[in-house]
Amino acid sequence: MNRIPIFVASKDKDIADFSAEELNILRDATYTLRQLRVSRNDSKRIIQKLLAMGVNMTIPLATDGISDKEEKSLDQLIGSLIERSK
Amino acid sequence: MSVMNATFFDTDMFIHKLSIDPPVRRSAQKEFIENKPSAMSEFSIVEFKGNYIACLILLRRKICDSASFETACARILNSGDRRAKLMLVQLIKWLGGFDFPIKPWEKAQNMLLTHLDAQIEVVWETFLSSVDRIERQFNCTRATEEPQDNNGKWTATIPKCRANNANCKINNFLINFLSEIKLLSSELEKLSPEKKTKELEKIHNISKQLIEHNKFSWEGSTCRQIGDLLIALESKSGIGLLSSNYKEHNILSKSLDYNFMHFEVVKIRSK
Repeated sequence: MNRIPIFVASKDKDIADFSAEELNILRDATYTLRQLRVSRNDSKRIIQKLLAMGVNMTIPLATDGISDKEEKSLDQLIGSLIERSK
Repeated sequence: MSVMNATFFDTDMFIHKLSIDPPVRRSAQKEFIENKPSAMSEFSIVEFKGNYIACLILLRRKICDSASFETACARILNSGDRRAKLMLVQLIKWLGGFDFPIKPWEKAQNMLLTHLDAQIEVVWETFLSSVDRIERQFNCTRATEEPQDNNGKWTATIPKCRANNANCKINNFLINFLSEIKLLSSELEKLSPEKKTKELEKIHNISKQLIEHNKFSWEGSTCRQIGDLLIALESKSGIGLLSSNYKEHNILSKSLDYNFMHFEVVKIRSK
């Protein structure tokens, strides 16, 4: 069984911005993801439908080739969080 | 869809699409939108799984097994994977940065695990659907294996190939390109040491063995040592290969005769 994928499909949009077909997909997704446990097949099906709708659910986490300055700022963040977590 | 007019995307292009650097990310996304029809080599599936997805899974495991944020960070740092550490900080930055509720750890841990579980599934599906066609000329068995989820315990292991777990046509595929590989091998022989990257060195060694024995020793993880070569050869069926790996593809494209389109990351970053 899989955990529920987090996504925001309706960000900055009005209901009128969606077609009837897209609203059906969102209704199906909402119904499926409200279940306490979601099977891998169901979550995969919903993700595929949302992708076909053009919803981008990825979080950019690729850090390949980041600058020293950027890495330093991320190191500061982790240092601060470690301090706060103690 | 005919693959003849398709632009092939190298594995690194999918990773640039997920870059934390907005100009790089936007430029990569634009390439996917503008270069249609698009295709990728089946071997990119193996590389992407063993790279980005494996890193997400490593990160998930370290967070799941740690009793505190400090321990999680220490375990990730001790694993020696700098990317996993940066990935964790970037995820936290995305979830609020300095304001991220790191205490109590159990709650923060659940939040991080939920997002990582979702990303493993979402990124994998997004990756597979990001091109119009996946080119499967040698039917790589490893490229048919998805990351496995066993009740939250994800694995992205790429098994070593053996006679009883692989059913591909890699030997025939490479033998069909023997004349190109012979030309490549002789060019690599002449290449100056400073231009010969580790990847080109491996390609050269394996090419020499292939030429000598007229047979590709595919057992184990040999294919993973020549990923650039396999992707380059499959992309010959399209109009070109888009990649940021200049050092390898600039050399390979001349001998193997494919159109290498350079995605210039350094230039994009300096704008």
